[in-house]
Amino acid sequence: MSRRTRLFVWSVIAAMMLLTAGIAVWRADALTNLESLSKHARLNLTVNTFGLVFLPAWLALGALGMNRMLAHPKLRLADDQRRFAERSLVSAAIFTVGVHAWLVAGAIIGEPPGRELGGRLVEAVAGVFFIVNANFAAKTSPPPEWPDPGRWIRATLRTGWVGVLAGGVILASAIFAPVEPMIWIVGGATAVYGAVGVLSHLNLRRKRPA
Amino acid sequence: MNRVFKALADPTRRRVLQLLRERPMSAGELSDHFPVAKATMSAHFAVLREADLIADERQGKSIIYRLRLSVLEDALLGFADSFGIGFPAMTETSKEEGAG
Repeated sequence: MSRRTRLFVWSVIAAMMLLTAGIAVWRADALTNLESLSKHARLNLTVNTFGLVFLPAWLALGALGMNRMLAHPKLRLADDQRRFAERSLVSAAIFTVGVHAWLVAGAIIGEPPGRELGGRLVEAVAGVFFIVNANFAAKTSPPPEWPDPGRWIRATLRTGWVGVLAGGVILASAIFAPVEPMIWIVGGATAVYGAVGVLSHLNLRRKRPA
Repeated sequence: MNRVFKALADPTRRRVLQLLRERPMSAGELSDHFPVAKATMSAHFAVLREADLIADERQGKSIIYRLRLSVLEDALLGFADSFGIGFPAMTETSKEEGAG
C-alpha cells in the first residue's frame, strides 16, 4: 500500500475514533442510564452509538486486511489489482467518513438529519458502491506468477457477479423496502458477498497447482 | 461503450472471449479454432483489445491474450450470445475480407 493511501486512511480512522470517543464521553450519562430513556430514545442512542463505533472499526479491519494482502510474501498481486485495491479502500474511507459525519450530526442534534431519507440515501450510495466496485474488480489481472490464470479470472468474475447482485439488492431495498428490515438486508447482502469472496479466494489457494 | 458493443456484435469475437474464459491463449492457438486467415484474426484481436475486453502480453515470440471482462461486459456477452446477435457474413471484418 502506498504511503499516501496509508496516511489518508489511517488519518480518517483516527479522526472518526476521536469523534466517537468524544461523543461517548459527552453522552456517558445517557449511555449508563439507558433504562431511564424512552424506548424510542433508547433505540436511537443504541443504534447511533453502534454505528459510531462500528464504522471506524470496520474501516480499520479493511485497511489491515488490505495491507496484509498487498504485502503478502508469497503472492504478489498484479499492478492493476494493487491500484484497484487502493482506490477501493480510499473510496470506502470517503464513504465511511461521510456516514460517520451523518451519525455524529445525529448524536449532536438528537436524530440523524433527514432520518429515513438520509438512511435510504446512505444505503443507496452503498449499493451503487458495491455495484461499481464489484463490476470493475472482475477486470483486474491475475497475479503474474499465478500458475492457473484462467481459474483466477473465472473466480474473480463469479465473485464480481455476486457483488453486483448484492449491490443491486441493497440499492433496491433502499428504494422499495420498509425502514425496519433495511439494516438486515444490507448486513445480509454484505455478508453473502464477503463470504463468497473469502471462500472463492480460499478455494483458489487450495486448488493452486504446484 | 460503443467499442464494447462493436466488439461483442461479432460472433467470432464472442467465441474468442469464450475460449479465453478457459485460459489465456496465444494468438496462434486462438486462430487454430477458426477457419479464417491469420490477418482476419489479428483484426478481431485488435477490436477486442481496443474495447479493453482482452489484454495482451508478449512472451518470447508469441503474444498471449487474456480475458479482461467486467461484470457488465460479461452480462452483455451473455446477452449477445443468447440472442445470437450478428452473423459472420454481416460483420465488418468479414465484409472487409470479402472486399479484399
